[in-house]
Amino acid sequence: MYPKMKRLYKYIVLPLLLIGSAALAQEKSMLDSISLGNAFGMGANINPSAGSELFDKSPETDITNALYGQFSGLLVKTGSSVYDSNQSKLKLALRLHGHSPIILVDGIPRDADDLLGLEIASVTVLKDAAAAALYGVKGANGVISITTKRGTDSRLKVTAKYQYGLQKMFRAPEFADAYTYGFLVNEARSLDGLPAKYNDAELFALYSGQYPYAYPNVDWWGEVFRDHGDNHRAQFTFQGGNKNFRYFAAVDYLKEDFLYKKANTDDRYNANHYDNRLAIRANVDVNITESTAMKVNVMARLAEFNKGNYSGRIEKTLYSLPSAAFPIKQADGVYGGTSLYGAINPVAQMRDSGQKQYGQTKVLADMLLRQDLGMLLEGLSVDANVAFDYIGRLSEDATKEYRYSELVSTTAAQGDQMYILSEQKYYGIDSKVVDFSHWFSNLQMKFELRGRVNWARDFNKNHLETHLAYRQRSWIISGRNESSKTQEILGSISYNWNKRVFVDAVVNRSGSAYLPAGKRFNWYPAISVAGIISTEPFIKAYASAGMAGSDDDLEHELWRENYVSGKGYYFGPKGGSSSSGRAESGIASTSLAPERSSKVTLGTEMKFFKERLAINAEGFLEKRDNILISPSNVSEVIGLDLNEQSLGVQSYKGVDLSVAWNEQKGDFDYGVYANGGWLWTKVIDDGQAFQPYEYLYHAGNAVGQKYGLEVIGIFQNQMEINNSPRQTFGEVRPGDLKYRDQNDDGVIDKQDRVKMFGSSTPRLQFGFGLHFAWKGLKVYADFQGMTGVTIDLLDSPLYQPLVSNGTISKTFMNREITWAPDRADLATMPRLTTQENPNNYQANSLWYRDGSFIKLRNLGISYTIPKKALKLCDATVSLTGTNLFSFDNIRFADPEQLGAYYPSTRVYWVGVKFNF
Amino acid sequence: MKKLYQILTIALLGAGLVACESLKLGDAGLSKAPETSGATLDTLFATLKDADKVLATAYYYLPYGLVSDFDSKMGGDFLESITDHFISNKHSDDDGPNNLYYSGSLSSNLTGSYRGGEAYRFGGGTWSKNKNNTGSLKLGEKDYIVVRYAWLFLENADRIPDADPALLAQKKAEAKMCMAIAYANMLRYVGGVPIVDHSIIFNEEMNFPRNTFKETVDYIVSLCDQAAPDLPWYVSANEDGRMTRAAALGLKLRILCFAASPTFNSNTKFHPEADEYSCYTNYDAARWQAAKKAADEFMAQLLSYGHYSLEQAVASDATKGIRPRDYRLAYRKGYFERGSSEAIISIRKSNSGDYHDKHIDVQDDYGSGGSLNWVNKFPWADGTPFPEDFDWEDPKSWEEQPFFKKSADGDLQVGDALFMETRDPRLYENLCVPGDVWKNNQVGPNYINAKSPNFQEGGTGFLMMKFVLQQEADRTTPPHWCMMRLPEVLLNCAEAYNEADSGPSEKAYTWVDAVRARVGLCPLEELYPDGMTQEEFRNALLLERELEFGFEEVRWFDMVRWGLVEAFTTPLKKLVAVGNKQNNATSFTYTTGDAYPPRQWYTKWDTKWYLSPIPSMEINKGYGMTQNPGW
Repeated sequence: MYPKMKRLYKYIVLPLLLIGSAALAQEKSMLDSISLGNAFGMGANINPSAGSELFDKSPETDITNALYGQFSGLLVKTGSSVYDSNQSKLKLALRLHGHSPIILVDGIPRDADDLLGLEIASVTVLKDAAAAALYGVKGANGVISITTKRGTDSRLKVTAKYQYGLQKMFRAPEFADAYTYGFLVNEARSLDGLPAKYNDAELFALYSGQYPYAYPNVDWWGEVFRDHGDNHRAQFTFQGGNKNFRYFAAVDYLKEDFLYKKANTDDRYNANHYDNRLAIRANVDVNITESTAMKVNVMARLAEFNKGNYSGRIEKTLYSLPSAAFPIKQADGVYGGTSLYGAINPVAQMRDSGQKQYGQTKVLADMLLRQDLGMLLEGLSVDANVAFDYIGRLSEDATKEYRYSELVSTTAAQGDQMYILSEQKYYGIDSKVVDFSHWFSNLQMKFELRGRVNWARDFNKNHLETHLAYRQRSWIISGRNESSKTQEILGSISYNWNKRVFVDAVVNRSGSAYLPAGKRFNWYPAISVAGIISTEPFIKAYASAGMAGSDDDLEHELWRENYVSGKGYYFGPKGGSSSSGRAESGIASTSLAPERSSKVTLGTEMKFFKERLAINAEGFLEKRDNILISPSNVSEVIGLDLNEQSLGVQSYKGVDLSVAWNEQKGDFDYGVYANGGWLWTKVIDDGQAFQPYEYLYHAGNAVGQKYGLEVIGIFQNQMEINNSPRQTFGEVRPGDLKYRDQNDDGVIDKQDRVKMFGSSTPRLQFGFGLHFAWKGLKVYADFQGMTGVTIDLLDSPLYQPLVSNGTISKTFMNREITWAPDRADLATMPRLTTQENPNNYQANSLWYRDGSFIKLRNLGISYTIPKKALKLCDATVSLTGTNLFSFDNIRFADPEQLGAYYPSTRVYWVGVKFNF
Repeated sequence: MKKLYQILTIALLGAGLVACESLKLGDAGLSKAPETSGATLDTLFATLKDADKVLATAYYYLPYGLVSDFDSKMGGDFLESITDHFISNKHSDDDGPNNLYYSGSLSSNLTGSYRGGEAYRFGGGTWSKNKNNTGSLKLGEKDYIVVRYAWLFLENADRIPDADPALLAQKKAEAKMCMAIAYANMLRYVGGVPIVDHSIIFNEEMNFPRNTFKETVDYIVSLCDQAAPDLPWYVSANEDGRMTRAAALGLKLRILCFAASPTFNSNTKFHPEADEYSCYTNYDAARWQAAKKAADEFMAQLLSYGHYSLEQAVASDATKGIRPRDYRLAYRKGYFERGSSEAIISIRKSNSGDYHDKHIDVQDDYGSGGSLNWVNKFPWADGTPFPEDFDWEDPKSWEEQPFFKKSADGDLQVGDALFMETRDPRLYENLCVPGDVWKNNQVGPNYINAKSPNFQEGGTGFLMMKFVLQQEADRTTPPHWCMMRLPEVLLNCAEAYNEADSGPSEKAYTWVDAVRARVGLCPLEELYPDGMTQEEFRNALLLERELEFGFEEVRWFDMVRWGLVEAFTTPLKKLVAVGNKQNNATSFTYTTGDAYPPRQWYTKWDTKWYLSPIPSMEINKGYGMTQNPGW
């Protein structure tokens, strides 16, 4: 710390604090006036928000599930379920107007993963330019501000809840049995011009199951998964306090057992899949003196995560391993396997590869101290705010290898009798000793410091509030140059006249350590204005304009020239050793800057029929520049590769609309809501090099636009192939896809790839739902969906059957007819092939599909037994289903997850909650 | 008491903040510049040893003629495949000769697998690094990379403290020579190019207009002239491979001869669209005089300092004297071995022998091979021409076998019989002829009944032997690309004299005869007892270059600079040989035929092919490069 700062403390801050503490006692507790979260008192923009009831409705472990379709403009995207080093099995991504927003928990950037539904008090989605400018170089992607529950000036309130969740697979694939597989492999090989893999006798053996070791038939999916997964959860909250001391505390314990079968067979280790988590929170508010208040939030998250010690995703194996590949175990009890497939027996991997265990500790703490300085100047106060987060993960592996064996068989017929001639081959070893190793696999430390001066005053009908704030943030991850640091100083002014006319202005000077010294700081100004045109019905119009930045894509050293090892050169006599070379690592980025958003928002909020009908409509225009791209339009005479440059430009525009009707009539309470967000995106400059045809340029198309070859049919015979433009991706045979020659040059190559279908970003995403309550009974349903989104069937392994010794699914065969000479006119898909077939399996119009869907995210019913009936407490029994069904064009799989991942699930929940 | 408690609390909190170690406000809060993961310019030029690593990188990107992973030239095929010497039948998707040249479909708008199949791809997709430090394959040529590293060295070399001034000057001269080779490579394929006179940084204005043919030639010559005085005539064995004064003077002579040749040095433009970027646009006899001067310069140095000489044959069996195979081995030593006494410029990027498999892959099952047209140019072993009217289909016409004869002195053993080569020994080192053994002592699969069933159609009867070599034991030494050998310098000298003096002088005869004598051929004077005209001598020189430099990237440029339209347009022939038995055939019957595939050039010749097209992608970057005539 600098001497200057020390003096500041000694002579200014400390005396002020002392004066303040001596000030007169106030009537109202200071604690009531301090809000965490986005506390800048801006009033012009309408920021959609919701309270804790949102999280009562959605019992899912990951709180992001509760946000599905709840806010117009905010898209919750299902990512890919991974059951691996990450404990979260279903990774959800949030996209606000096409970008990943920053999530603030009580004003501090944190992960949504860190939160429990029961501790959330409110969620606010900030998507206007003024709010973005408040967060400077972290604000361009929008902000989701979450506040947690706090103590109240009342006696202790305790809640206790137990919840059970039962998972069932949603649209699981069904793979072909051994005979079907064998039959189709023969067909595919014949279409490839290859000899059959199985002769008739062998096919019969696959069919009859007579020789389960030589000609096995294994349902691998059924061997790995059981028909359900489940979890148990117990939760307690404690809330209470008095005028000067308040607390909220929560304890949550979760034990999750997944869809995988129990796998423990060896008493030296535990190979079962499970996830145990314990979460504790304590939020404490204290009035230290009459004019000094402190808020302290501490969260601890402990997690233990366990699985078999195999690497990669077992689902990947399940989607590719044929049922006839090898038996689970051979007759002598050794695991099945072959030299072709290697050690990938899924059952052996689950049970006999050892154990992988992670223990994760997170401690997230923050503290706010406010000193009221009303005695100096009415309405003046200062805040000091510190946050420290620690995340550490320990790993332990128990490693074991297993032996596997292959029965190399041939058949011979003698008269009517079939004989199997086989030879047993063994691979690998059965580890006698389990090897243990452990290490510290991850360490993160986040530190944030804030100081703020607040001044708010009312002059007659004028309200003026102004803030001057300083923030600095560092995020240190183990490893060289992995840390990220930012710093901001900002001023804001909010004014309103009689709560009818609003003007907010922000100016932020914000810096990122990714940039070279001297170029780190940028200005981000914004302004918003609003007016209430009428109060009955309520009509408010608002507008904002401003800039914000994002350094999320940047990394260290892009601006720096440095030298790395180059290629060696051989001077000297025969066989002389090489002189090591030194090469530049790339031309430094001179254009490096944080991505910049310049955004204009225009909106209106209206309430009719005594506020029963609420409408919020908002439109925005946004230009994003300084996007980090790899330009390919730079001269080769430079003679060196370029680092990425901040030269990309994109534009976004959109409309967000939400409509809600809520009414209460005596014991009746009901409501419906609907909201939607339309988004249009456009690439303006992506540094693409010269293209010989206009249609090859990306500029002007949507961000995430799909491109591909246009399929115009399936080749019926060799003559048709000979008479068509040459397709250059690999060997072409009858039954393969035929493409349009877009430039009429007689050759089908990359230059024939055109823009087709839409983008991976939906044009419209929406949610709607309803609730109905009568006395203690409550029923609710929430739907969410999207349209104008393109997905690619090639993401699903089911649509590349038999390729690379893979398997084939009944799911695919029941839905599609593959080309073969005898059913050519019925074909919906190209021929089966056992080869890689780059001609067919590449981006083209056959594989793209409309990925639109409507899903029922929540369906719930609950009944509350009042306290007077139970004496001690009231009790709520609830029954909820999540992801119960989906309307879409895909039908065979979750349209949001086509790949070989942990299955999508629908979950049934039972809960009982007591309020003491 | 209560107040004291409050004061203490606040004081403690304040002190806690002050004590926080990591708390730094202001710009210091963003911390100092992060630790760099590599060396900086300062550390690199702290010692000459480190700086030499930058120079090594310039060397590394010099042009390489062996088929390798270092570039994608011709899509992994030989430049010889587009001359009249060799026909490629490599049917891979990225093969340059078949997809671009034979079919005539080379253009400035190549994409996909065709990109990089050109003989020379100027620029091309600059790939940018992404976060994982990976990028797409760079298919353009590497010459500007050499230029960049050479400039980096030149710009920073003076920062090296306490460097021996003479050594530093020598290293700088090496950097200039690397650059001269890179520009010479560009000049020969595309004509004039932008001359970059510093290492470019990204935010400078991208304005690098194309320099004219003349400016580019002058620049290369000036680089050679600047470098020559600071370079030693030759380097010690341990430094072998570094640039020498011989390299500087040899390159200068090569480029002056190239530029003075009629395609570029003529009052008639080689193509209607030819301009000052692709040729001189006029004829000037002084250009040959300049070449002659450069020849004198080289020869004077050679006379004073020696060191370089042609590898001479040594009798492997003293009782039998020097036999054809002994000449052949001397010739091989000259082009193949690192440190040979005739290597003037030697490029060595790798010690790996995998070039060998790549060379075999190019032709093996694909049935590529040398043309009969070329084979017919190899004279008999004594140097007398092979008859033009040789009737391959009539056994009586060749009493003497066209390739081998039975001889007790021979050292090719087939079955019980010994055979001896009957033609110029260099034929056997360049191509495997019917009856010879090929890689690892296998029978050359170049007669019909010796081919395995999976051989593809298209073989010419002659497989490439150069660099492939017969025996595993022949290839134990690491390869190099001998970019320039003493014989080329000698023949360039002879050419410069013949053109500058309008006819051969005694000196000129001496130089050619030295090259011929090394492989046992008679002097030219014996073939032309009445003396030679300028044109006869010129043709004899061109022929000698064909015999001496097969697969050494000489023929293409001879065809280009002398405008040998006939060489481009004469359909190439193959020889179909049938052995008297399947293995170890001892005699053959022959028929000739048209080599497959035919070339569009036979019927639609266009002089635009002399220079490579510039990719439109590169021109459209708008920094000043222009298109070559006809593309």
